[in-house]
Amino acid sequence: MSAVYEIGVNTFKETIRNNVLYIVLFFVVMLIMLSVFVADWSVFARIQVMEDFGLATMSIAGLLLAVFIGVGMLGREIGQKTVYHVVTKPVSRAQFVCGKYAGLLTTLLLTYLAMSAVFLCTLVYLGGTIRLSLLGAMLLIWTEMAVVISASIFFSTITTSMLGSFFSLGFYIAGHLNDLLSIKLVAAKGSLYPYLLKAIYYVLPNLEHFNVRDNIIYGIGLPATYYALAFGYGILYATLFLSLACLMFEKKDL
Amino acid sequence: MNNTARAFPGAYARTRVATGLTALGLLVICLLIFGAQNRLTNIRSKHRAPPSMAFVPQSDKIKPYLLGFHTAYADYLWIRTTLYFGSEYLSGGQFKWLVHMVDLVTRLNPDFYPAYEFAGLMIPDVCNDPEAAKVILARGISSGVTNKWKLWFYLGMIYYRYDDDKKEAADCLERAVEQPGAPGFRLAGIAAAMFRKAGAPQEGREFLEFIYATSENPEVKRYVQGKLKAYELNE
Amino acid sequence: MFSRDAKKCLNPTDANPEACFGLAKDCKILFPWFCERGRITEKIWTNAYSEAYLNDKIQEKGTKNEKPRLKKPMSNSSIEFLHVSKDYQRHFWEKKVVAVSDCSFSVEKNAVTGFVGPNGAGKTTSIKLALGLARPTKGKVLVDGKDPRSPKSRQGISYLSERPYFYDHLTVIETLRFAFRLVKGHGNSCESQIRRALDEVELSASLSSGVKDLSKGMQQRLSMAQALLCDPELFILDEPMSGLDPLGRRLFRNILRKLGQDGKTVFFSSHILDDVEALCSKVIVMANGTVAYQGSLDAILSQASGDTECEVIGLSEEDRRHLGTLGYNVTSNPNGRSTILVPAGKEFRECQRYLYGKGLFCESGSKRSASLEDILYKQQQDKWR
Repeated sequence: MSAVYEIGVNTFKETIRNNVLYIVLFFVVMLIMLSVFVADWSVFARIQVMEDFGLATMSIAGLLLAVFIGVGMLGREIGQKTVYHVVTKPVSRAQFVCGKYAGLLTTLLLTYLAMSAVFLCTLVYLGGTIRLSLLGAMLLIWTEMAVVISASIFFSTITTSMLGSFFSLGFYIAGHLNDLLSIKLVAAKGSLYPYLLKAIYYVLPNLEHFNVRDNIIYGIGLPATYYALAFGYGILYATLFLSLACLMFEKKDL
Repeated sequence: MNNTARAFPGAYARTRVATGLTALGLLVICLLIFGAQNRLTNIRSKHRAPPSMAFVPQSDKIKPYLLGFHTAYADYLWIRTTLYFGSEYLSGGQFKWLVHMVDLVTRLNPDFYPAYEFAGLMIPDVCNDPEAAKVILARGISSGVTNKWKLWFYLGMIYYRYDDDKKEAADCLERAVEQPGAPGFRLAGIAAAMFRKAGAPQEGREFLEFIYATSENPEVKRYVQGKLKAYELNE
Repeated sequence: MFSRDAKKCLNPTDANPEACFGLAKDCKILFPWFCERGRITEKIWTNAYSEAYLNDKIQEKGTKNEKPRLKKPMSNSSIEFLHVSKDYQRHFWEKKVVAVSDCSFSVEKNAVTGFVGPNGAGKTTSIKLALGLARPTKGKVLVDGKDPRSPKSRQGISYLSERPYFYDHLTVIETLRFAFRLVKGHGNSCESQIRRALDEVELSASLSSGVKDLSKGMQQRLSMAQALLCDPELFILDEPMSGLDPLGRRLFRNILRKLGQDGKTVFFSSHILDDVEALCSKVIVMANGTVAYQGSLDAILSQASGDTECEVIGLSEEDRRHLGTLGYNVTSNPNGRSTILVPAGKEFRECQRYLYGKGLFCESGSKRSASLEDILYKQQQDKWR
């Protein structure tokens, strides 16, 4: 565990000095502030628009950070051979992967907290209120970010950085479109089509479970168990991807 | 037996146990994920919210701020419109924002034909707002779209069905026949029937005779001749 | 106490493994005794005494309940390669590249062993296999008797890579702190050890410098500093002298010499054969992915001894010509002296007899010893390549 902590701290130092982080953070803050103007143009109430826009921006920011920083991280370590500095010590490869993930997650947590602070301040400034459901929605966005990052790290262990970026992006899009497959299909008798789609639905993660923006802005409340279950669902998926990443990295010749 | 097994028999056995436990652990995670996914889908279906309207502008005053991308934004808005329509239809909704969205699409991109067709076919029925449909169709007729004969046809049908104004309907169909690409002789038959029902049979007959005289197609002449005979019989 | 057969088993080169095995199996007391005294070599162990083989033998004799307890022989090797092969294949449609082929060698404990060979011989691949960075396609690698892929086997090992691979975002002290804590954990105090290591490599002035601001030579010194941290027992160094100025090379030589004197096991690869000659007691030579030679340095140097030189005063032109016909190279020097060069492999006796007959004597003589470089690349070029 000490090795995981040390690698995590080192990764945190590395990513916190990454310029991409600050560029994305800058744009997110700008967009959140821009949402004040967007809110004036929309048919919807100002506060709801601001909430929707702000949450959507933070979700996209998480994806960008996962793709730009998360995917390249392991690939860069292997390419530049800085990984030798760690794996030649009495540190297992699984500890290395977990340490990298922990460090990256911590960096993105701080970035996310900064984004959230700007978002909530802007919301309060416009006259909105900070509700538990809104905080729950923000927690789920963070959980989605953790899942996407774990998937990015998994892709970086099996392929190059560029392909890994495409896979991560595709994973995000497929995860959000996956929700459409939950609709019951009416098909001809004996057709395998509904079963095939159902199988795809269960194999791919449904990232729409982390998207409760529509419920927030329409005030359609979700039970607390939903938030807990969605959070657990995200943790399970992150664990799964991380385990697969550890297994693939274990077999890799460096 | 692979190389590791030959080289380290004891360690290999321990590795096999560890691998088995890892596989079991991953299987348990997958089962938990499966269960959680099902439960989440069930809860969500009971608390499903309509699609967000946050990105639907109030008016086309947003156009200058789109920096020339207003047609792209219209395309995006059209996708949201169709999704909104589907979601409202499945949930038995009131289509509160449908007219506004279709209107906005046609304002941002006046040459977007599918929106006009949708307005002509669906809005009078699902939104109970034929007036709005007429306004949108009129915009389409004055725009640069092709297949304008269809827009005149839909307008005529709205007058016929919702306003019970057969004269106006017939005039619309007459205008539809004049548009390029229209299946003129068939529309002519419908127009003539409308003129007769509107109490202006003479106009209907003149309309059919005009089509007969101007057409060079023997099939069309035969068709219109049949319609004229039926017309005279009904009189 | 032991029979004649048992005594024969004490000498592995003479022993018949089957007989020894049979003896050992029947006399369970003897078997651990053999193992503990290292009399049974690793080769006999792996070929004859593996668990599967033992179990088969036991079952053949119908003595299933009498499974002998296997004990690993205490080897005095730090690193052992046993018929190791390693192939690389980037994509399935590409041909396999054989980096190492049926390679067997061992690195003795408490010795400084040089690892030499031409480019592409498989040295770096072998080092990677020893560190668990790659998995052998065939054969077995042991580091202190353990699988190098296990993190525990890397406890007590330091590695210095061919090129310094450090994190650019860290400073010198942060890098060393990170390296120390990966081995010793967070709670242990590391500052004194870090300072000592930096003093040894003369890098104390750059404590707060960023790693990316250091030159290659300084980064190499930093690599050595991080290798010296935590006082490991085994040092695996891949071309430690590369990128160093002459002062740096001298410093590293002193460090390695001191490590050897302190009883550490040092295994380093180098293209600078002077360093290998100066520092090592053992040498392993790789060529074409396999071991061409392993053993003591003195043995390889003495195998190919050089020419003998002899200085004579008063040699006439006729004498020089005659000696030339006998196969000796004679060169005239100022002050009436001549140098007779006796080529390696040629007997000096004939020359001596002639000189004595003429009443001449060697004023001084010396044997020109061949250097390792001569042996590997000049005299034995065809053999090693």
